[in-house]
Amino acid sequence: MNHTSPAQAIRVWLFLVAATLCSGWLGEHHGFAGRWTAVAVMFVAALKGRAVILYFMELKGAPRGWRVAFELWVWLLPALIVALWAMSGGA
Amino acid sequence: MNAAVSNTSYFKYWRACAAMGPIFLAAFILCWGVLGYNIPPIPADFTAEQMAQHFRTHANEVRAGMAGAMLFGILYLPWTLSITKVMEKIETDGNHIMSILQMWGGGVTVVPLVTSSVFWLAGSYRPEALDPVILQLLYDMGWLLIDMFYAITTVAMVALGVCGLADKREKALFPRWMCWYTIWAGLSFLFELLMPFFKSGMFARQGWLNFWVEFIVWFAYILLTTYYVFKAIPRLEQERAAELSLVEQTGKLGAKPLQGNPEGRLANA
Amino acid sequence: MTDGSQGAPAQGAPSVSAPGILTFIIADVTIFGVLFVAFMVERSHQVPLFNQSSSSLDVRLGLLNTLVLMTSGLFVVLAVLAAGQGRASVTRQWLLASFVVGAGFGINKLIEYGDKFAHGINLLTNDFFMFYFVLTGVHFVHFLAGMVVLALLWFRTRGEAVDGPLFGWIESGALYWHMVDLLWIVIFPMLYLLGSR
Repeated sequence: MNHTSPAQAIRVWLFLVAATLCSGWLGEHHGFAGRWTAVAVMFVAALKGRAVILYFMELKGAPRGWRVAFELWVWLLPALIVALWAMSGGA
Repeated sequence: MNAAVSNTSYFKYWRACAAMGPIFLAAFILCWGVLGYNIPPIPADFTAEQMAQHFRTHANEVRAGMAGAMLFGILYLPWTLSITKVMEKIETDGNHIMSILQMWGGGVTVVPLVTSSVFWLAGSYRPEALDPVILQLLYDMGWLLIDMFYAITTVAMVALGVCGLADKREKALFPRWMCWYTIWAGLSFLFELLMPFFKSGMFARQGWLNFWVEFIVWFAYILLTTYYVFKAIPRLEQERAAELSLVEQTGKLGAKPLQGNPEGRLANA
Repeated sequence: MTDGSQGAPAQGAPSVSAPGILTFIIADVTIFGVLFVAFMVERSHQVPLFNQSSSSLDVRLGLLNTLVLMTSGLFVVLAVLAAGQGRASVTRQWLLASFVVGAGFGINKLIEYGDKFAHGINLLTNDFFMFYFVLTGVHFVHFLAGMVVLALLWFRTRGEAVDGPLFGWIESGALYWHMVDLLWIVIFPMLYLLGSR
């Protein structure tokens, strides 16, 4: 497998921390993004999930099928959550 | 290894036992599931009156179904044994801890399969004479027993997975992904822990998770394992045939170590 | 018995490019995925109740737990990298660090559960809390199993080469631990952040 280097791992971690703090802040300050908060928060979750599977789980170098399966999960579930959120009035 | 035993007689019953898995599955689905009205289960939030109605209307089907389930449920035992025999060829330490655990776990699984059927059978035996609440209780007891005794099956499944993962062969007898599936499937039964708390929703006995997902996961495990047992047997026959011919060549028992074969040591002693 | 390895080739075949544990992980995250959808469907029937219940959760605790799991995950990545280079003591240091940081998640979660129970809230309070306790509870069981795995790896690496047959187990344990992280990444915003507070 194509190994993640330590420096790369730390950069990914910094991204994860920053993204988490951002979505946490957004969640607590619904006034800022208003109705878009849920969309933003789940989008950030998808990005974070993708970073974890590609770099922490090293699926970047894994056989294609596995990478596709996990990428699908990481995008599909937040998308479904947002869709169901929107269908129930987006509140 | 006992070189006097030919391969044909050594592996005589293996395939027959392994074939009992799919036969068990088909018969159990038909008897317990279809005739017995357990696929899908009668919802836990039905009233006692509705349950009484069920037993009084379908008494004969349920009687026949449960009699069949109690007969064919037993086939889980020989099927389990076929897995055990393959596992013994993976566990080369002579201890066979995982093989024996799997054998007991799978063998004892027969108990909830067969005893739970008695409750449904009892409900259908004289439904006109029994109170609706009693009939409801009997149907509940059947389901509580078959669902909540999952842990014994988990033991067999985890033991199989753990043993299969330790296979040292270049190409393992049970593929690693199948072993992980087996472990996961066994552990996923833990969702049944929530079953007694719900009469509706996904965790109830008729719920999509605790019924549909868990039973399909278990049925898939039976088919998957049977398939790989059938794939493993010819390979084990070849392994043993190679050992036999080696014995013939050297004219001495146990001149070579015999893969996964504790008798080899005895023959040498 | 003499030596030879007929029928039993190479001890500890090198870890294949796709560890079998990925089967376990994909099955597991799929079930969680279905539970997420079930949560959202149930939520759509009772949006006010779900939002009101959700607003009683402590975002700070959930946020802290996300950071804990990510940091612990980073340490596990570093442990695997060190193991690949055969540096046993470094591997063990990172495994230990991962365990210690990870323990924070458990403590945090127990505080959170304790607070809910103290307020008389449990699995049967309403549908939101049913999902809350089931999702976080099943996740917590996964977390506990992961902690056990980290501890076992730490003990096993004491006297054994980390780049030998053990490497596959270290790699598999790490993948499992990342799954615990991955699940929380979705569970946290879904339960804590969706509704307006």
